[in-house]
Amino acid sequence: MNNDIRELLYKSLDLELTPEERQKLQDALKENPQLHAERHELVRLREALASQKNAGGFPDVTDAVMNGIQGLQTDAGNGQNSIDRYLQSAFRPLLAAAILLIVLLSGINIVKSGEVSLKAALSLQEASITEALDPTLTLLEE
Amino acid sequence: MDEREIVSRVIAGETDAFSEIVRKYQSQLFGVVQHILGNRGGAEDVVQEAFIRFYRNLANFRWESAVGTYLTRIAINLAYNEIRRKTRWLRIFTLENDHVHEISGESKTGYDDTAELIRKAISRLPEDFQKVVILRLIEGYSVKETAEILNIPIGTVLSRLKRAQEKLKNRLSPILEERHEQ
Repeated sequence: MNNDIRELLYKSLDLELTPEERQKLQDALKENPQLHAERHELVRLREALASQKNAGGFPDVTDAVMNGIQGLQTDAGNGQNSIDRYLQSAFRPLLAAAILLIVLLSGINIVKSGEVSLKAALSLQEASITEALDPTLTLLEE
Repeated sequence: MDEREIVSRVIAGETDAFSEIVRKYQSQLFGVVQHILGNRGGAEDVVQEAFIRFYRNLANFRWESAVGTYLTRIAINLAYNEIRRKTRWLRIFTLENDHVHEISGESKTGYDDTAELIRKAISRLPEDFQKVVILRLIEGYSVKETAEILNIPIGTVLSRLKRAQEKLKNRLSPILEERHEQ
């Protein structure tokens, strides 16, 4: 099939053709059943796509946006506050991860020792608190 | 009230006037963003963020395009960023890489809803093709408006539309034909 005619076919669905172009396409559609069938397929496809448009029923975000803007203004008016908030939000996940790690390691220690106690959780069964806090002492003794 | 007047008032400090812009364009933005995000959710956050970004850059807005055009452009970029972000997390937390299924396979395994098939077929198009299909063929923007929103020439919109329709026709025509006959 002539590529120029196919270009014209697609173009006709989105833009207005010149009288000459329109005539050329109409003649080609009369003569070429394959082109006619392609046009039919395209029209059906476009109708199916157009029917996907949402009719509405979207939530109203006006208040949320205006609150967000108020928040921006507050932050701009108080730079230190905004830095503090940034640091808080940046360190909060780190703090949570550290707590989780401590709980996990303590749990492992308790399971390993088979004893539920602070000593077991900290894995201090065989070492004194001084030794545990100063590992170099243990190394020197060895 | 004229948009230029609203923008001038907001820049002068009358923040409340900005709500008129939100009310006017939120449905338009939701329409486009929901089609980009599909079933992923998060459209509300993206639309809100688009307005807030516009507000933050209002002083630099040069009226090279209309407010609606500019806002839609911001929303489209944010929506695709959201998809990339979600895809990254999905890749980190799941081992499933082949979450894009073949359309033909889906129709055999229970995907009987035409709307879902169309959505899936669009989601399999390259991003640039998806944008023109959503704006022009679903949301009904003119070719000129589509070109302005995407900041590309009209000729590029037409060529992307043609190639996108060829792909969609190949994938969906048999299904649409079948549904039409039923």
